[in-house]
Amino acid sequence: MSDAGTLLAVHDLCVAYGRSQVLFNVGLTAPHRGGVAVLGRNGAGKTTLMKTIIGELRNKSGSVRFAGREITQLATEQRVRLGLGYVPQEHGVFARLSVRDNLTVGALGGRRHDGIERALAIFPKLGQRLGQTAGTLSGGERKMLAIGRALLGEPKLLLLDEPTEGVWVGVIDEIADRLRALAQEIAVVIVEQHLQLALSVADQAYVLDRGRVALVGPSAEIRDDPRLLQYLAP
Amino acid sequence: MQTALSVLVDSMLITFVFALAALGLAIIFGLMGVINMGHGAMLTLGAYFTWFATTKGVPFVAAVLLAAAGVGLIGLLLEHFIIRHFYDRPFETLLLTWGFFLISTELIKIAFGTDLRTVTNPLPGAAHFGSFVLPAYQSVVALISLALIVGLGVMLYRTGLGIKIRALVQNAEVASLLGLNVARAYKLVFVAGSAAAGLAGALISPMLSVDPYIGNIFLVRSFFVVIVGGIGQVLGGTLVGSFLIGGSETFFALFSGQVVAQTIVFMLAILVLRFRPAGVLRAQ
Repeated sequence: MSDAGTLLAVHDLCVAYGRSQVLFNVGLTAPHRGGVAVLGRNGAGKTTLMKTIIGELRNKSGSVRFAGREITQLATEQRVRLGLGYVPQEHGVFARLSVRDNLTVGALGGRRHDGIERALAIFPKLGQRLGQTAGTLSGGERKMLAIGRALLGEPKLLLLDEPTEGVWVGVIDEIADRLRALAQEIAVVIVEQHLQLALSVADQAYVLDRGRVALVGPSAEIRDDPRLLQYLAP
Repeated sequence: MQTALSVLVDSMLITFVFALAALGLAIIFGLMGVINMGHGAMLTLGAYFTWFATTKGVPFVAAVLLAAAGVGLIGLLLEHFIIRHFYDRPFETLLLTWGFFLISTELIKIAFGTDLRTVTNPLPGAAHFGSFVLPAYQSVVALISLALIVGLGVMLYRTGLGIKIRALVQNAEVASLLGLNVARAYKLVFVAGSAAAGLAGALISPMLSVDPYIGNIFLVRSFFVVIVGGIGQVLGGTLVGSFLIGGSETFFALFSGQVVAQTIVFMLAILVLRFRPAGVLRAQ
């Protein structure tokens, strides 16, 4: 992948919680369009990687470049304004605000101020819940709201941390369909335990093992790699 | 009948004065979660700034606005240099704002002395309806208090800025993920709360003698107003809390002395919190 075709470039990233190092020289790239999956068992460092890219965690060393710009020292909101979006694993909605207000906040924080229609077009179900308090939504609807709201900021790259965790199985396909469509338009980096879903969204996959990149390659190759199960098994 | 009406009106006027006094705390403590022990000092500073400006010939309305702006500026400095570094540490902010109270009070004593000062009532008249009297200035202050609460409600629930603030106080982490400038929004809310406290002190100054501890009269009561009304319920909670803490005292004072009435009110407040720990209006 050439630099001109790279939107996100993570180099030699090392991250620690106090004295406990979690990521060791992690590298990752994402193109301007398409999906990138980050796989690995619990504790492999996937969420830490996402949080470091978005700026919630500081790295010990290494760099994060986005759209050709070094962003390692930028605050989270500055990274978001440059075009990074992040949907966290949990607590992704403002539980006491209505669905409409949640979406409005997303539209206000973004670069476009033309309302909440884009989110409703992607997740029409939210249109029936606009007046409802977000805390009363089902797990799947909350995820839809969090993803739809992040999209209102017009991100060039969306980081998704376990978008189907806690979601009823009947809704997972609906979310997966939207994510596949989304990956045709922008860059999507997805952390997901649901292996088939992640690989169906992503063209490229990284497998983390104890904070290091253990496997990397096209999704089709990773899916068939005999070492994959070894890295994902608990 | 006349007495009952008079007591009702008095209690409503007191309710709005208490709501005015508590509004700044409802913003800083109720919305942001900062236990602002400096709230009383902010009220005191508002009162002293008004006294000082009016003695220098500044018209009362301009003096009130200057006092609010002055206390807002002090709030800005306090937030920028100290409080913003401790938002996630409530015990430290409690101590720091208490320190602000102590320093402010001593500086007021040095600058203005400890003598009682008086701010001339700009509207000394009253409307008489038989034995029932409606004091003009208190009535105007009640209307200003109501207008501030309604205005704050419109801002919080009908504007983009208000939605941002409500989102931010619920979850600052997610708010920053949406590109909101969390630090700037916190600063804005803190300054607004400080200015509201300064405005309250300024408007209350003609009703009481101004001394270095005038704000303390309202400090504990303001905390009771915010907690009994419901933390985070800036509008309804402040009004309900003010009525329970301030307005009801007027009722009880009909049948007892002032001290007994205050005791009954605080006992009732504790009773309310026993059965509704999150406040009267806060969702359980």
